[in-house]
Amino acid sequence: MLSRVCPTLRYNRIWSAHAREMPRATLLLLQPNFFHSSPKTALVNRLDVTSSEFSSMFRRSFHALRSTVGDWRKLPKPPGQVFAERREYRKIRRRAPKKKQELELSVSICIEEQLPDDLEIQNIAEMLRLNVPMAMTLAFNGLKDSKYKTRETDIEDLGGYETVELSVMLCNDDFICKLNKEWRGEDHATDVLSMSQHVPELKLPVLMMGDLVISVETAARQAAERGHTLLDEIRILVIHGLLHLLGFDHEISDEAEQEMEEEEELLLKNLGWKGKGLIQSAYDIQKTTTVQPEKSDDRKEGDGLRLYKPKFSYIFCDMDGTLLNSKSQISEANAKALKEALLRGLKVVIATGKSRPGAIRILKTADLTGSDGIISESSPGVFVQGLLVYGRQGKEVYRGNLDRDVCRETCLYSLEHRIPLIAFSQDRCLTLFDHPLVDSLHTIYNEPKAEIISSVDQLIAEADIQKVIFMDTTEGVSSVIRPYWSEATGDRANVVQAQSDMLEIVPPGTSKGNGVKMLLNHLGVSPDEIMAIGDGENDIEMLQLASLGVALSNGAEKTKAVADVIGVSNDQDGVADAIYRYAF
Amino acid sequence: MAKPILRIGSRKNTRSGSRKNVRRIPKGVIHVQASFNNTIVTVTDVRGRVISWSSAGTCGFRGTRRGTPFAAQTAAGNAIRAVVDQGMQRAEVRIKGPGLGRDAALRAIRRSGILLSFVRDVTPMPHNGCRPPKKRRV
Repeated sequence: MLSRVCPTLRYNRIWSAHAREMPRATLLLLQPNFFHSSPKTALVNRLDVTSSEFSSMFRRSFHALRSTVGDWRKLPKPPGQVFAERREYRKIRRRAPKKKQELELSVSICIEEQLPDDLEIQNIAEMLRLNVPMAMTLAFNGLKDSKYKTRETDIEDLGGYETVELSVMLCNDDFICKLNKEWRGEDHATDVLSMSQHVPELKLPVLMMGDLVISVETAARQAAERGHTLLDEIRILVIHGLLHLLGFDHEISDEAEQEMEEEEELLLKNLGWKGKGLIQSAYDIQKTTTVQPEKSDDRKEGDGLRLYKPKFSYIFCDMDGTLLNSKSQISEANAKALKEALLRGLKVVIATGKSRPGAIRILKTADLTGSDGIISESSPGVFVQGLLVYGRQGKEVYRGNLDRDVCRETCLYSLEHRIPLIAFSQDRCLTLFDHPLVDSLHTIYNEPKAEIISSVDQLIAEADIQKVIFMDTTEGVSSVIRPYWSEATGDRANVVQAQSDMLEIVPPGTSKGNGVKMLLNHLGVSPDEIMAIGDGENDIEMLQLASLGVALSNGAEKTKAVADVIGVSNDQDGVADAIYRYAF
Repeated sequence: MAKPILRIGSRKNTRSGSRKNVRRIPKGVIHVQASFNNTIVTVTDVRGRVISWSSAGTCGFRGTRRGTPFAAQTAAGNAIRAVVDQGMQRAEVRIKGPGLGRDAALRAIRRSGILLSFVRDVTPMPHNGCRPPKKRRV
């Protein structure tokens, strides 16, 4: 029979009137090859039994067949070729089918760069590198049944692909909130986003499924409320997102929801992963009476804080009226926030009008002292309104002294009018006579207990004095002492009133802001890296200098006017609120 | 975002001319698939047959560098160069996906000299999890 076909082919090669019939006949001859999984092998086999001239003709026809693959069924079968067709078919069936090449799953697990290095998250990422391909393999096998009616069938037969690509990104709530807002128009964080990039009409060897974006922060909260581990929750989110990429959508109808839930449970069970599918969990939540409290503000605290990098390297913090409440105490919430900040690499520097021992005594009550605390004899700080600045290892950076003549005059005034005076001399407080107001500086304001010096000359000679304070009634300070000394000091000193019943005499040019500047110079830190929190007029320069200045709502109006943001008051844990809201 | 464009009707199957040695394709469609970890650029003719394609992975980028704008630019350049040599003069661009490479790939396509008749974002609306709506408290 083959010899009958051969002359026909040879005859047609000379472009006779029957040229159109030649490709048809050739197509018929090659038709049985189409059912075989490896046509190349069959073609090679055929070459062994034909002449070289003949094989050249066959090869060309093979390519022609492939380019018009859609047409071959429509061509009528000439009755004369039936025998040849059957014979070729029988030959092919004897050959064992070639083994199919395995599909390559290319899964990229990446951690968004704003997430800090966290061992648990890195371990989860390593687990996902193994888990996600397993889940994909199982999900792809499930596609062959095609029993689901509501699934979009863009991804159907994977036989034509060599590689499947999937990208999984772990991030925090901020990042997924941005994506949710940009691509879905919803301004809030969510647990998982499935972003498909599959283009069904493209015939490529790579199937690009798309992205799964998972917020580890939301997953951690959901894991806590569902009673399983973070890895368990992330696996559930992977399954849910993967089914979305494969065309399931639980939101289009009840039937679709049921089918997706069914597939979720099936995959989780077959993989041996813990927990219910996401749709089932949501359904159970609706049934229970407990209502989940939603985060109403942008504060980040609790376990979620470890998913953010600090935005600054330093926080400069005032004490009176800021860190201290109206009872001159540090609240528990403020102490906790400061410890959290330290734990995550932020450095907190005290900038206060107090002396260093006074500040240490107060912070000790909140367990914030020591080498790993905020303050110690060997930590940086700005004290006595910037007249004493300590840098790295507590080394003195700056000391501003009051004019000696001013010291002498203020001491004589104190003795003459029996108004208590306290001289601040580094870590010591000096006075000329005992008085209840002097004691109150120690008992209420926690400054060092004042030492009584017997004479003016001895007090002046004994130590450098940075500033002096007159203490009297509010009326006495405002009507008698302040007017007198505003005039008497001239340009040798400045008069400052931090408290209503105290008047401070300080060297000219005194400024907490200047102290902060000197400290930043010493530390080699740019103002862009610092955040400052304060309340008083003496904090204005510091807040302006900082990259972010926070004035508490109980502060002076001038201070609030220059601040970047106004926080809640010192009696409402203003420092903690500022740290959770702006520092991360 | 823009909804995906549904294809209307099926492709007509016609026999391609086999007489000419070099096929000249003046018009085509450029698909950009941009995930966070990879960017694939595919050029097809108007009937949808793939003429040329490239991805950050096939350009030799590995690991996290596959998701960078530079990798996307390289992939786009490689895919476009092949079709410019074949005489493609104008194309429609369809972008799908949120990755960093989408803008870089588009810039590379613009710089290739191909006249862009359309630039269309066909990224579908992503799906999220399954949080029930919050109950209203009275």
